[in-house]
Amino acid sequence: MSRVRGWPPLLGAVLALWAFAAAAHRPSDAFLTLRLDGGRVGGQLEIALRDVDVLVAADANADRLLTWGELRASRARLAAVVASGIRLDADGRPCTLAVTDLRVHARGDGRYAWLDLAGACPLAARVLALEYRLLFDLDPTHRGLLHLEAGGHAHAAVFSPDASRREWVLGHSSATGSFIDYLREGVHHIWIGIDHILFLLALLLPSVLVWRAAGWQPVTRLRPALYDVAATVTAFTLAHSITLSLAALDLVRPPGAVVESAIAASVVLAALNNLRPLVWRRRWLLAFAFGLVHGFGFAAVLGELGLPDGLRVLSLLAFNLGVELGQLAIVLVAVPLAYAMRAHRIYRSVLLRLGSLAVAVVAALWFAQRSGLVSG
Amino acid sequence: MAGLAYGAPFRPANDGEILERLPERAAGAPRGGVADAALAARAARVFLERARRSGDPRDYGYAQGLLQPWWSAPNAPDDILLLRATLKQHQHAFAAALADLDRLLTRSPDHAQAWLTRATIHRVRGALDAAAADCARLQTLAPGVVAELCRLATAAPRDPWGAGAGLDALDAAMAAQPDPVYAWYQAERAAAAQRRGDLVAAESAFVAGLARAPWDLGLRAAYADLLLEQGRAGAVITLLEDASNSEILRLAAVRAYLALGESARVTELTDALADTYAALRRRGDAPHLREEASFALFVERDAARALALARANFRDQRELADARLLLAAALAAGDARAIAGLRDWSEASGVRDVWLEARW
Repeated sequence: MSRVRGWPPLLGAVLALWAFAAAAHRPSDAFLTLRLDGGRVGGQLEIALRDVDVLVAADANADRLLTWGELRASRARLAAVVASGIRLDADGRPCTLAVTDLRVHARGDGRYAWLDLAGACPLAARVLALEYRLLFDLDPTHRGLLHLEAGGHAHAAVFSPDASRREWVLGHSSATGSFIDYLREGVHHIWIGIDHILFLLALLLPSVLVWRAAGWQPVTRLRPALYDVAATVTAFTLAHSITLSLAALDLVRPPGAVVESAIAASVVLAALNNLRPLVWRRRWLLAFAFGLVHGFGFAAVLGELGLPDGLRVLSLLAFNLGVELGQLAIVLVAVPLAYAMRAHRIYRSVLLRLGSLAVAVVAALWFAQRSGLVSG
Repeated sequence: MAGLAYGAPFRPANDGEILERLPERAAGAPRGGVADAALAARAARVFLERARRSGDPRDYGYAQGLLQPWWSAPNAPDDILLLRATLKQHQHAFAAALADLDRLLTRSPDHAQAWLTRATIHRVRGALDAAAADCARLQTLAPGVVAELCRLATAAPRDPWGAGAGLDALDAAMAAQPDPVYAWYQAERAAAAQRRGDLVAAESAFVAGLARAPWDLGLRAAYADLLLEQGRAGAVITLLEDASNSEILRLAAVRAYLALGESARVTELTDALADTYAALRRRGDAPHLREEASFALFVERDAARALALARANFRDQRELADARLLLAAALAAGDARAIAGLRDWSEASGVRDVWLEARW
């Protein structure tokens, strides 16, 4: 009996009996649903509340009754576990994926935490990869059941400790598809880029005026105003296209913080120039010089999106074209309005003077923040 | 999408709302694993014993998590090999489980527990001669009621009358055994009685077992099968009334509601079970073949599918319920070859069951 020691035959009865009770309950599964649309990722992850407790000790008062309050309080920890346990990348570049909402979902075997997910992937990726490692260190029989919609197809996969990473070739190398994606992103980024818009407006506001006798006077004819607008916009476009291309093709790589500060400074200078112009006939020179800086700013955005292999130049072109189209839309709205209002006193005293002053102040604050002079 | 099979996600109205009753917290595998084999084995045993009661596959999973550093090590310590074999048996990886036990017994031929586990696997698989030899080894190493139970449980499929009488005679000695052993004893007693066609004796064995081990899902499910066989659907509902939301008991419940004509409950349970089997299939898990075959035969009434599943199940498991399920599916599908095949097996192996013998 010496070998039996702490293992009385009793244990055998406990261990070796009903093999068939195997399907007595459902095993631990998490349900992951992801949709990739352009560069945006959306979906949800469902984890059984029993597993949530194992992952983040959600039952804070340890009474073994998990309440909604306890679940809500563990949201940040859960989000961190999800962020480290589920990694999505496109063509080897990481996507972002964050928990945006927490709800509860009743399934047949109990309740699940329902985590809404949202994030972004580099655009027009050809190979999408997902790594899933949630719970595997604690429960190797846990499985992640994935339903993925990407590139116009639905894919299913089961993640286990032995198969924790999967790749899908999306066949997204369609030139048209990626051209449209990048064009859209270009438009999107100039429209949400308030600093670019303010810079452009600050340059355009005086186009319908002339500086005469230490004061702004309205132009009498449309032609010189249009000539001025065309010169400014062309210079800005040319300049930022040059630096955008250089940076996107990895030929020049200026530090991001310097670029951001310089963009803020450019807005300050453009606005101050409206109050007491140092340059006015040749504002296109200002547009060109600072356009170079703004181009590096666009490149930083494009860097986050990534350029698909094999379609780098085409996608860069599409993005740049998108930026120009977005910019043209702003010009087409702003310039006719300015021309119509140019003779009115409000245009010069309020819009141009106070407006430029306000822009200068805001941009000066950005500059201070971005260059680390003030925090936050 | 399966995710929406149960309605939309919701936001509870107040923080105090209880969402889930959680099992007792137990120490799982720490990140990075337990380095000490004896410590890991002890912690894994806690989960295995809990799994026996909870029926929750997560508990087996946590045990495996603790054993992860030794999961594929051929020369793992005895205790680890034994636990690993038990977990593999649970996953129906029978050949791998037996290989682990053989390795252990080559190294430590006097390991009583390993002989008992080996006997159980051989018996479940229908290898009755091998199981009898294992029980004989156990008898020499650790004589006593458990070794006797091992011997009689292995003899009962071929001689439910003689071995059944032997089991009945153990009644007094078994009363002193712990609940899990007592539940095992009554399950073997009930199975032997069913082989003889003595349903009254079978029922009293189930009742006695459940009185001491009400948590035993396998025992409860086997009792429910007996009641369903007798057309006592109302009694099944009563038996399962306060049972947890376990899939195996749901299967018995849906069959009872079918018999009672309660179509709303039937639909609800059928959907949930179909979803469960689909998810298990996606996972690639094997141990659901018996339940799925029963579901296909009695609920979906798809005899061809039921027969295919019952056949696949019979390759792995050859206990009372497995043989009966295979015959019922073969009869429903009108497959004379399958019936003859089962009959040949029964004659060759000497396994007796009056229920089978009355039907071919």
